[in-house]
Amino acid sequence: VPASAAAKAGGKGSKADLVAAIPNLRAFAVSLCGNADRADDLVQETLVKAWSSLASFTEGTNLTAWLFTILRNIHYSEYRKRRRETPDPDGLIAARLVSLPAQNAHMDFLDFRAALQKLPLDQREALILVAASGLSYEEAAAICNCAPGTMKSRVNRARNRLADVLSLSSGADIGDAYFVGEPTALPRAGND
Amino acid sequence: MGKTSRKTIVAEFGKTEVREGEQDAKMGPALTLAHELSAPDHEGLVVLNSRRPPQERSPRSKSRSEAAPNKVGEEIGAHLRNIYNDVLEQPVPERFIELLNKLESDTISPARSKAPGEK
Repeated sequence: VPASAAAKAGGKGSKADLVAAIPNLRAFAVSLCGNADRADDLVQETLVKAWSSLASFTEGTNLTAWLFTILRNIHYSEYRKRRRETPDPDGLIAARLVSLPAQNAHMDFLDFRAALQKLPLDQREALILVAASGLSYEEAAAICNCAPGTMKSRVNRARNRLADVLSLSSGADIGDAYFVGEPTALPRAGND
Repeated sequence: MGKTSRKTIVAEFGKTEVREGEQDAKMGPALTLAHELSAPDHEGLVVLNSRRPPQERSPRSKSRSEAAPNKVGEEIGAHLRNIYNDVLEQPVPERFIELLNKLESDTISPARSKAPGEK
């Protein structure tokens, strides 16, 4: 989707515009948090927040992108809260990835959903925004408050990681099992 | 994916940014991005800000996958859109309409004038 096309249908931020944006908001939320009930709670919080902040929405700009920004910020702050309560959730997740049964003939849809939720949050949202929502790297970067180059690198890492898991579960390369999840352990944090 | 491409991936993690072209050359299209798809195919996907309900999905264009087959990449893209579009196509739950009605009635003077036709 060219940036111009996305920007065209701006909307005024009226109630009708908000209603029209709800399907995209819900789809984004479900993909992001992997749980339908949690997703709808997120959408609800987003709508309440958006309604009270409508004055800060610039008429004619992309309302859906603005709402995505609010939703992911809410999700992030709650994710951080959870992180403090559960030490190293990503580490636990990576450990489970390694035990994925490599002899499975094919990774089915449920496996994919699980693998998607095991991606680091920044990579997951990058992949969803670009590959499922159809936003440009620039638009996605604006939503996540990062540089477009950072967005590209997150999308690539997410793809590579899912590709690893997919090929692993299809039994293509069982010997690589121990590598799954390793990229998080690499000293890359500052590189993002 | 074999050992060789595994090395490629690990090597690419070392770069801060992997350029699209390089990625395609080494691995084939890892994932078909919405903006890379041909027009008829695109209609089955999510188009932000499109008010139309998504059209019936046409069979996926095979041109890219024929050029460089990458089943895994295709699978990732298809799974992602599957999750996303599944929810996108659902009607808006009543709870959200009620919520917005309530927010609106709680607001004595809405932040902006109402859209034409809105009650």
